Amino acid sequence: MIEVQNLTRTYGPRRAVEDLTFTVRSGEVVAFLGPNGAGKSTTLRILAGYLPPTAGAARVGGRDVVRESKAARRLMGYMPETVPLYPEMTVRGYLRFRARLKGVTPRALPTRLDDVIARCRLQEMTQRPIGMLSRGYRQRVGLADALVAAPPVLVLDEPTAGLDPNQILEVRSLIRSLHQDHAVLYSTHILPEAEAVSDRVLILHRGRLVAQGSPAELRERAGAGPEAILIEGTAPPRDAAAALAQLRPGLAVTVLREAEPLRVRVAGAADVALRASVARLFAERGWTLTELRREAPSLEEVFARLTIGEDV
Amino acid sequence: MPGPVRILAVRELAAFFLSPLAWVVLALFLLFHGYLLHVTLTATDGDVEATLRSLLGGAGFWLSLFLLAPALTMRLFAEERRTGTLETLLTAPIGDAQVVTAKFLGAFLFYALLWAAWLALPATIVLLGGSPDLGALAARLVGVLLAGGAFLAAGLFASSLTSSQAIAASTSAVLLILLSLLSFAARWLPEGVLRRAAEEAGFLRHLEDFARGIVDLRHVTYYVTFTLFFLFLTVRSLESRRWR
Repeated sequence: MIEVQNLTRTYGPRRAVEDLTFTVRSGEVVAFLGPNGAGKSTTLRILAGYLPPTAGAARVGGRDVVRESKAARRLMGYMPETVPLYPEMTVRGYLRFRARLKGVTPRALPTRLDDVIARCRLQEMTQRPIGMLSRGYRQRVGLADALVAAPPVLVLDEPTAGLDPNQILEVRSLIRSLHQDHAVLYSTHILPEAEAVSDRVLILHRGRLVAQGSPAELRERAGAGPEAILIEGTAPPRDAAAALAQLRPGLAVTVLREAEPLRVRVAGAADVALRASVARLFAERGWTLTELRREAPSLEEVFARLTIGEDV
Repeated sequence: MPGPVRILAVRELAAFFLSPLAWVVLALFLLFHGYLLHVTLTATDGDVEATLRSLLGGAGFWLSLFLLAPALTMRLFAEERRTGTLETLLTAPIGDAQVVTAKFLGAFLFYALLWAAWLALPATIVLLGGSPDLGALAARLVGVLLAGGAFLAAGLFASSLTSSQAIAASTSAVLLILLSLLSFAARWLPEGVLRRAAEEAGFLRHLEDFARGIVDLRHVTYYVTFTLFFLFLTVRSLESRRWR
């Protein structure tokens, strides 16, 4: 639904986005990940038809965002980073205006409004002036606006910025729930968020795409090291280490702490079967197991590795 | 009118009534013109025609238009630019020219409503036994609406240049004053082409015939051209975001 080809945008001599190529399919939630100033907003604004690219092309639903701008915009719900709204309008009044502007017919209007108001949990706020809403509610109004014409493509610029932890979880689950019938591209600079919500992550650094793939693929590609298991319990350190090493060939066992409670790290794999074997081993030997945890290299690590070596 | 233009124009008009400024403008406008009517009527010794001619084309009228046009237009683009709503607006499936048209229509309708309320003044004259020439009054109002449209278009253009309402208002005031100065400058120029050109380009002279009760197509064309020219500049100014 979104196709971007060799997209470049310069502001005077500064290159904000350079030679960007990627696609987002329908039914996919894709995170655009990168530090502030990496070119995320510029790219999303080009897709939304607000800025033209300096070179390259972008299509939304097969429509060129420059040559067929209006047709492309008709297929897209876009939420800018700061969620600009008219403070003097009521929530329902604003959504009605936006829906009509986006071509929702008067007949379909009540259904569409009720749908997005329920989805974004704005039922209590429909008659309030937007200027009196909290940040979290304003964010939801912005999302409701993006959704109101039921567009197949959603482009959301930092949809969780400035929200409290509960609101962040709500917005994430809302975005997650959209993936069945939308292509969603959203930007964030928070790694756990990209990992929690998206099918695929595009990592942008200094205007260039440095990596893309599922969170697991990215970890692998970055060579962030194999997975590991962390074990805590009560057992004789040497016996435990020896027994653990024999569970499967190729495991590297490190005793992190010999005093009680014992802590051991088993590197090389962390799948369910291996973890089950560890639990059985402790039970058979009569040792106590107080913690058994899978340790995956975080996307933070992946990100650091991918962007390392780029001169600062 | 295409759907998006009508929908946006209605919102713009409604936005006037949701802001305190519109009510202040309406009150001051009626107060000022009521006072003007009183003063002029006294000065002309109760001559209704002379009074109405002066009210719809005299110095008082121009003064109110110089204040009115910037006040009504300063918000239209500057505020949207400041708060960022311009981005949500321009990424909806609506063209730049449609946005400009709708905003102009919103402001123009509000301006027309002010004059509709103003009709209470001649109505009072009628109630008090006066009998103004209604044909001449209609011609004057056509002039007032056309000149107002041109002023509003210039103000809209000024508003599209900046994100500050104050700068937008002062820019449009300066712009309007410069255009009107042409009319005065014409008087000091030597007889010839230059003087003719300044007279024709100047803002004030074209309302004179309307004030006399004559609708002349040349003057209609002047104000309409003027309006379209500034609306065109406003569309260009919006598009400039693309190469900035």
